[in-house]
Amino acid sequence: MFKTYIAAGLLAVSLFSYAQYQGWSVWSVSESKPQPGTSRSAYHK
Amino acid sequence: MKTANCPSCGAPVTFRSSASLLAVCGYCKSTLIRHDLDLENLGRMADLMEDASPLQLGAEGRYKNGHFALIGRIQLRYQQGLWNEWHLLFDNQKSGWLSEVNGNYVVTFPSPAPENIPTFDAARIGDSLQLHGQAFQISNKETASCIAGEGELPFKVGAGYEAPVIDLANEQNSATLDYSETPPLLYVGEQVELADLKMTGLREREALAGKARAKSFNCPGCAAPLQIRASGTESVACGSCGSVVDAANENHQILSRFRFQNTHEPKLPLGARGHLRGADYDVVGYLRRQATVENIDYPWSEYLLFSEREGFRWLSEADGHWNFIKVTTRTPKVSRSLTKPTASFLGTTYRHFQTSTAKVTYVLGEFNWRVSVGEEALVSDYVAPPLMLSEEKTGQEITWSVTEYIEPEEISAAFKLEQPLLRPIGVAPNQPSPYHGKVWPYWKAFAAFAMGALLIQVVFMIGAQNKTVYQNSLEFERIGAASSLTTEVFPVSGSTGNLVVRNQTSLNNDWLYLDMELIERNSGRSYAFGRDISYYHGVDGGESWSEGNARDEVVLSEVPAGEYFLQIQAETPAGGGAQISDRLVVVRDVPQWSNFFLVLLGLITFPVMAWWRSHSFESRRWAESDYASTSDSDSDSSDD
Repeated sequence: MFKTYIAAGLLAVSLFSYAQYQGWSVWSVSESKPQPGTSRSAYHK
Repeated sequence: MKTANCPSCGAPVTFRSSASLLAVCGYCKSTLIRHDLDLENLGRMADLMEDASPLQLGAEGRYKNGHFALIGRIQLRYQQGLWNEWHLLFDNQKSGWLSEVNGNYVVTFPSPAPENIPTFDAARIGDSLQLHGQAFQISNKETASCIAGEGELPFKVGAGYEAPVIDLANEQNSATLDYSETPPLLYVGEQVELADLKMTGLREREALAGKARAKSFNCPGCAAPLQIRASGTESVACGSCGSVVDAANENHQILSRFRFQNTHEPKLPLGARGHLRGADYDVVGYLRRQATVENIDYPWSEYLLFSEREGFRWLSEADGHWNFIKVTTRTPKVSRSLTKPTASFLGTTYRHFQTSTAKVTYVLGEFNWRVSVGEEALVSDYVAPPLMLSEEKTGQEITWSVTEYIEPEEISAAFKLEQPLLRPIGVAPNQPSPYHGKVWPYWKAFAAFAMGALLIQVVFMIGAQNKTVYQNSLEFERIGAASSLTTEVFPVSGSTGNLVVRNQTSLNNDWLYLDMELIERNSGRSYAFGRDISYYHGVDGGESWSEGNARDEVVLSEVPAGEYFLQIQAETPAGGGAQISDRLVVVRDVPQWSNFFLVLLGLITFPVMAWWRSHSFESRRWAESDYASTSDSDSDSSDD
């Protein structure tokens, strides 16, 4: 079980590092919508 | 060395020691007292009782770089059995004594007795006595009687000669006060292992085997066949009629009788031989004891083992847990604190586990004392797994035993049992924890991971842009309906990262709902989110209260670089009044702590689980102790 912990720990720290790079957050709330047609034409200033 | 002729048979009698006053002629057993050059014959010395002692006159050994020879012997009987006192003569003509009882050996030397010696009648078991700057505890008080002697002795002895003696001990040393003379004679020394004395000239193994050969006789109570396998056996319990028979008496008188409703079948049959802990042992006796706590009986079994070389040892079994027990003549140092007493012995500290009164409820086979059903002893156990110290206190003596936990598989293998022994139930007081030494590595690994995660966090914090990419002050009318607006385009640079949208409003007992959408102008990629912002406060019964927050912040993840704008639809309450102002700020690449704490939370689960398993095991161990209501969850090691 200790070896499992070491492996899991290394994985967790690696994932943490990637999450920080990507800017992930448990508090992020957005719903990402790729290229909706209505949105593209929304800016009209 | 002086030699004279025995006045009875004319055989040469040698006095190797100038201190020897008495010698027993090796040929005719005449007891001879030395008067300068003359020898006075006091009559024939009684015969020694046969035993399986490996020692004999003429054997030699070494103690603390001093060479000695066994030149004399006194065999004595006390209430519980026999012991030998061997007269030692060192090369420097110094005399000493080697006490031998049940396979335990103590070397002592005559020592001046201090003046504060209590009288024999005044001495009590358990009393403390200062001897030559050391504290000793009285462990035994007996009036021993001499059976016989042989060789050279420094004083006059004979059959029936009585010696009131008090034994004392501390963690390191032993002492004996002999009240047969006035003032009392003091002997001080220490327990030794026979192997450490590097003896030569011991009795041949074949001679010892002959002495240990089983002797058979019929029970005087029911004529059932009984056997004596061990030398030093004092009593034999008959499993057929409950008679306890005097083994030392050739007439085999019945010492006591007990009634039993059920016979108990020993898991190790009497007569079984096994090789255990480096020696061959015969199972010669079996008894059942129990302690009663809060009207609940806690029974256990004990097996008396006998080895020609090692003497007597014990195996105990309770709920499938086995222990190997050796009696010691030393007395551990007990420290009685307010919380939990401890006993220190040979560098190890033992914690008090429980004290109870143990009563013998069933006996079968041979015993090295005059056992009786119903006899009780106050037993105190101190644990340092896998070891345990047990103090047994009766009216006459205090006996300490060193106990070591032993796996049932080792017992089965040693005695070649056909049927496997029962699997242990629960946790024994001195059962070694399977988690011993396995908790601390988890915490060390966690610390290493936490440091690594902290380092990564610091690197990202240092490298974060934390740059405001858009800010504006917005005003919303209280119209009770939605209103929409669109911000200017603002650039978001750098690699993919987060974007934090902050709204700092002027809400005061009011609410505002913002339906927001962050849109990338070129790709059309959008991030939609709604924010329900409210802030209420007041005073109720003299106490102020508040609910919600006029400030709001939201994190958008994985936002790539690009040209963005915000589309905002705001809903406001109706009723007119002052506009709701909102300071909108968009910040790029804001360092977040949430992931750091999340990974710590995930990483700590393993060490917490490891600690919990160890804690749970220890809790189950101590749940059976005198401290169950405040069960000590601390491990006995430095694991936690």
